[in-house]
Amino acid sequence: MSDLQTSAVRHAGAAAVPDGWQPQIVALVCNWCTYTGADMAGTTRLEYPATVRMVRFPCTGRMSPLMILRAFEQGADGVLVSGCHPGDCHYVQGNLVARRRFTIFRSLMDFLGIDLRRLHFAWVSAAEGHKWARVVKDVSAAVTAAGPLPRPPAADGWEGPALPAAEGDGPEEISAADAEALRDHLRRTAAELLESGRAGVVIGHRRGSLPGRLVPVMAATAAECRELEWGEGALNNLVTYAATALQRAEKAALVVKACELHALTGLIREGQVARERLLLVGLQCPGVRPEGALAAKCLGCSGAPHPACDLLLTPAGVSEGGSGAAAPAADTDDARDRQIAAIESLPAGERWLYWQRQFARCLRCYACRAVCPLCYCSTCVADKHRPQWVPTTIDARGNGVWNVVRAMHLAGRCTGCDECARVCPADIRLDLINRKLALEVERHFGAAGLEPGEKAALVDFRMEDPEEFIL
Amino acid sequence: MDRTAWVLNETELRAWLQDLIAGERTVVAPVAEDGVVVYRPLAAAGQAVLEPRGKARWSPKEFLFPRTEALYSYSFKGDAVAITDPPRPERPQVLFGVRSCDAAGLARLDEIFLSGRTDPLYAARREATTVVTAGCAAADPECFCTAVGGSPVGEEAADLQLVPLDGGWLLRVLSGKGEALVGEAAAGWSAPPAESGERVAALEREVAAQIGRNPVPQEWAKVLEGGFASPSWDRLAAHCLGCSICAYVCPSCSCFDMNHEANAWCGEQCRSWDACTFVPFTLHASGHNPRATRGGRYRQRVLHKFAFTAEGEAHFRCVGCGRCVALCPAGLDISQIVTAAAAAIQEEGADAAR
Amino acid sequence: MAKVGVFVCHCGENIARNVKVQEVVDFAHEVPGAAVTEHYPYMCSAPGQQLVIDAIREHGLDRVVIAACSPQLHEPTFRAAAAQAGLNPHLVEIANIREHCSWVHRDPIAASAKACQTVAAAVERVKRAKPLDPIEVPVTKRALVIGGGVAGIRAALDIANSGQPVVLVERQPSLGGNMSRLSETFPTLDCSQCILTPLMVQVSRHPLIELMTYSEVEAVSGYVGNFTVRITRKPRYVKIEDCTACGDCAAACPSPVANEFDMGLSTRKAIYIPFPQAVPSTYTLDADRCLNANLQSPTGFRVLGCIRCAEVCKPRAIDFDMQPEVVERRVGAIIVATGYDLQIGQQARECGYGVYPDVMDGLEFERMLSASGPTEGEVRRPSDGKTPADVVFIQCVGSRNPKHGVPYCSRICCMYTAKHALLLRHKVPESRAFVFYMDIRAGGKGYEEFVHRAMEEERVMYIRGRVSQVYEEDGKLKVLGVDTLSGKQVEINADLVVLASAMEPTDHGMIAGTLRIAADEHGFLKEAHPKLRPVETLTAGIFLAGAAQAPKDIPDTVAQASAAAAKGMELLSHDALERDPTTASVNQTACAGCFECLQVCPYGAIERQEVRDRQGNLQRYVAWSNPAMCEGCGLCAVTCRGGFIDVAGYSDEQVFAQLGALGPLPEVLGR
Repeated sequence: MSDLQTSAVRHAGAAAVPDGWQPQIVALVCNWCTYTGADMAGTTRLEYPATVRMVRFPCTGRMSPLMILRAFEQGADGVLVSGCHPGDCHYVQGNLVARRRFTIFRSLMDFLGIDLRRLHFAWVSAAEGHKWARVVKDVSAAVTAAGPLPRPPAADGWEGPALPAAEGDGPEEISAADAEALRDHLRRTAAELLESGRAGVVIGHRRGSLPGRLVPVMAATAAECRELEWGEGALNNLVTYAATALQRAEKAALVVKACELHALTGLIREGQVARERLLLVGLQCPGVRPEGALAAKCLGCSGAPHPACDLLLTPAGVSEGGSGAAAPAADTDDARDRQIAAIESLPAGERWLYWQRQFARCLRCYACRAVCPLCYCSTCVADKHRPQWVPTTIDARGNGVWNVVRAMHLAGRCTGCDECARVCPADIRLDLINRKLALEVERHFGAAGLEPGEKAALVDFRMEDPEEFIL
Repeated sequence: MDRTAWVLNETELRAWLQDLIAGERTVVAPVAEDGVVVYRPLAAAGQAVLEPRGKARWSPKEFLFPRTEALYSYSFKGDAVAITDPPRPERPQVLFGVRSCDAAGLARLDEIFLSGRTDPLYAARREATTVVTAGCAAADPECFCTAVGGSPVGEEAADLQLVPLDGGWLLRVLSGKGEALVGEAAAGWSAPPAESGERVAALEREVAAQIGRNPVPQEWAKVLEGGFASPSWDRLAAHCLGCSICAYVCPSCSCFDMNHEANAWCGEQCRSWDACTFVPFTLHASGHNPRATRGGRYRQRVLHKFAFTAEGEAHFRCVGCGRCVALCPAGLDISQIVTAAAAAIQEEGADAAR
Repeated sequence: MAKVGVFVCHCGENIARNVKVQEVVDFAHEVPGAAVTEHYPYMCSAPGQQLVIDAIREHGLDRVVIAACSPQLHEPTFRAAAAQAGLNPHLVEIANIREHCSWVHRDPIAASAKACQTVAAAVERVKRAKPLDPIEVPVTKRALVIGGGVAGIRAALDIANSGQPVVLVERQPSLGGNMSRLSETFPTLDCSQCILTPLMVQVSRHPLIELMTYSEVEAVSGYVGNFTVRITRKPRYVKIEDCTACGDCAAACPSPVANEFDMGLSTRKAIYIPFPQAVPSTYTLDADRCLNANLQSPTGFRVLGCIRCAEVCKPRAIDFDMQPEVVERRVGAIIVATGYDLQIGQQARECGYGVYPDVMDGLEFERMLSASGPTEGEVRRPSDGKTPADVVFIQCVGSRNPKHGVPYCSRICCMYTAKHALLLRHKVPESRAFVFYMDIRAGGKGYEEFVHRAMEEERVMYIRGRVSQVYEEDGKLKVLGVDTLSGKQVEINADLVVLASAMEPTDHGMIAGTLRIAADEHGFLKEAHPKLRPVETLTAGIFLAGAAQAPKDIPDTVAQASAAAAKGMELLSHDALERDPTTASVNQTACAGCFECLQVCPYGAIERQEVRDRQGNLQRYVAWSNPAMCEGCGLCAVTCRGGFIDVAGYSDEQVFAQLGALGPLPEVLGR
């Protein structure tokens, strides 16, 4: 590490702590257990540090991660979240769903370099006045050790960590002749689909204005079908256009890569598109090259069309698919995982700098949101003003919250198409954040929620979900 | 000796830059950060990315028109409200190594913020800013400055201009501010060769030839505006996803939104960048949105770049940097769309005439 | 701008000792919107409340903050006071500066600073509060009782006797439950059937009770006062109204089956009546066991292999074409009395249950002791029918055994084992009874005396210790155990071993899922509060009775049944209910229809609603939260990514405003 780097990291750590400094901790507590438990601490006259400020909620299930962020943003040095023990929830399962949310939120905070001594979770029942007093003491001690909430300056000239290159083999190359055959199959198939009425529109790619770049097209005429293209420049995840296309036609054909199909499953599960209105055309994929190099998501992919597609196009020809075979299991040996591991190996202060610098670049153009197939809210929470969920300021405050919200909203849902990272003009490694949370979801709750009938991981729960981090 | 032009080699240029950094001004230049080239205040001359071609990911407009800026602050005590101006940075700044298209973008911002009712925040910063452009020795695929009346070595809004020549740089003074910035530094610099003016003209022709896009005729401004109600907008913008990359990387986009960032005790009235491609941009409090379709929103962008002009403005607001083309998630190309829209509108007009 | 009144209570010295009340009052005055700030020694006293009421009226306050003790104590008091002054009670916010402040922080500076911020946050919060009115829900005046054992019978009779109609659903062909299997009941040794059957008959004759035996509750939807229950009536293949219970059919039936009522100790026919006093007194054809069942025909009985029963039935009551029937009933209250099973777990198997025919569980022994049982009350070994001489009773088989059974005490075993031993000694005076026990828990009225009677008068040998092994040797069951009082190994040659197996909820508490109520890890249904709301569930309108909630004996079961009935009657006595209006509501214009809110809602309060355009074409589905079912937990609100669901009284705006008042305040901390 260069001198500049070490000094930057040191700066991000504890600054000089004023004498007699007491941390300010915001406690989000449920009404039925912890609030009453804290009452009991009072009735028993247990003394504990006057560091916590209580905010009463009906249930831990009512506490949005955004509320935790707001507490930090307002200057809290630490946040304590507390509610009923599992099984004691006044609302049966509120704390169990919340536990999953907090598990993932905490992992995200850790990944982004928040000092975890500032963020605590506890189960305190109505009878546990003593536990409440102890928890406040322990949490106060931890936050005191962490010091006042640092607001590190931008680290001028800090080089940042060197992430290992994403390595791996991509799909088999498609020869020029095969590529031409494939493109011809695509054009002919698309024209036939329109002609036969099996689809009123074909969502595909056509040549764009920049060399090698293909752009989305919703082809509705034979002439447009003749312009369809396929290849390494077919960057866009066309699933994003499915709902738009279905406003134009009763049935739409959708050209999909195998990696994009999960996103469609998500949309179907969440009731956004009807599978029967879509005809999926899967093509042998050569892998995509957003900036010349093969995309990380393509490393380790065979490029074969997904068998669940209705039509499978390979250079050899067109075949009927629709096997209904389950989507392949999430690929754990992912090229991005080494980069994630490299970030995780950094000290928290350096992780913080790494991400803060990226978030500082964020323009809030919301291209990540626009391009994400799973971002479909009519009004994004970031655009809401009463209350102001996400600060509007395009700076560290607002950008950090926005990126955390985006990540949390995709946790357990993101299917790794990496479109957000591709389009981000600031090159924020959104793909790593999404992938990290996907790994966390799988590690804690198992591979779940990728089939149409399944519940998404973060709206589900099991009694025995892990909770080592909860006091 | 000519006091308005010199040739500098890389060492001389960096040395001067280092002197500037050490001086009273904040020097902003392209810097590589996590692999992205963005404009940043320099800590050392070596950080600056000064290349004969290529450009920063987005324009330097944020140093005059910040992404977010507090217009005033307030605090409460009981029912009493105290309003204060936020502290203004008074340090003069140099925008160093910005491309001609970026500088042209600043001229477009000047038209917005300095004409009519002057925006004092912008004006103060603009006054304290010296612009040193760096001309281009080659065009990127998305570039089209020449199609909208610009030039790879354009002089608009530049106080000083660097032109890449023979592996070194020709430095030209274009304004008093530029002259002041050079000051005594020029003492050791060499005079330019006699034919440098011609060499610059040749470079301009060479780069212009690389730009494949046809010029946008000025008269299209009227055509496009006349085609406000054309159905072609919806078709042309069909793939727009409604983000604001185009506006936020654009050197000349100047729209903003106003918001309060406040808590129980105090707050700030902030203005932050906003963009016409966002749905809430024109959303009324009633819930009505006059630009309800993506075609309508994208039309606003096109017309604001190519049509709606104030009296006396004889140029497009688009400066042809091509960033929006390169970065659009859906691959929309504004120069192609302008051409297509003008053609469609003219055809519709012809149809109507028949 | 809001006009907030802030009223700071000294609580005598309780608050004022550590919190500088005057500073809090002065500080509160600086919070934007605080129009009036007052303090008083005892704000909850009549003059204190009057102070609040007068201030509201005099200054036209539209919000009130009371800085005092926990809202758990006096929130209702001050809400009522506000209402008296014409202010909506939900515009009152309590800042807890006693339990959470003065009582737990000794340093007056730190405590005062915390009190100041707590008050400021309360002001910020209450400024965004909206007036809320109680939600009115009409009540369907009918109760559903699930389970026709003694608990269900008692609850049904109590409610029906109060004049409200009842639907009683019993899964078995007859009412009676486990109690109808019992011989005599401790500690008075009344004959179980003699006291139960009159109640069963009362139920069947009660004009306000709709009895549905051989029926099961399939689904429950709706909410307190307005449940819709779907009940499947299983086909008996015998028309109740025609059957005279003459028994000719059973005599003619060629298909014998183990009789579950006798715990398999006897046989019945495929067409049967569970026991002679069954209610309704009618025969039932066991479709699984009838010879016709094996002739795979789509309707089950079209191709008839055997019609002997129908041939002999004079009233022609047998109908092979009977189909399951699904009926719906709307009810206002539900009482769950689904009872218990005995658990045959690992420990029972270790004691030889299922291995040796002469090892039996408590209910089997009950049948053997019953005068109407398979042996007509004689004690005989199942293996050879001989009268046993030495009988070993083992208590806590599975109970109080967290490793290999259940951790809880089944509560009734100590008593029924004493009863079994005593009855054995009565019926076989020359026999010897041995009881292995861990502790004797005889905490009921007359219970301790009863156990002593068994020990002293009937000379039942009580051995404190666990049994390690039961095995057969020379036609005897060798019971090995340790007497932990003497520390010695004990070996008893027994003719019969009776196990007091653990009680567990019927079907492991499956009914909880159907009703969307909570159950503990063993399946026992969860009460709303173990002490103060022992018969209510957390789902309003659903009440618990009997062993489905926890192991209990007959007196406790009956008492709880009457308590649950009283709760149900209280509910049904209202024409409409008022519910807490702190409920969730969905912004349907914005809802994207992902329905993750529906998936997380613990109460089924979220429904899909259609959105149609002016022409009536279906456009999309959006979520709707039924205020009559929503309990206001807020899970949906956080699940909704767009933030299109908000919770009244705990709105996003209120929470964020409150958080906005909790940042560090140097000027306050420096005081």
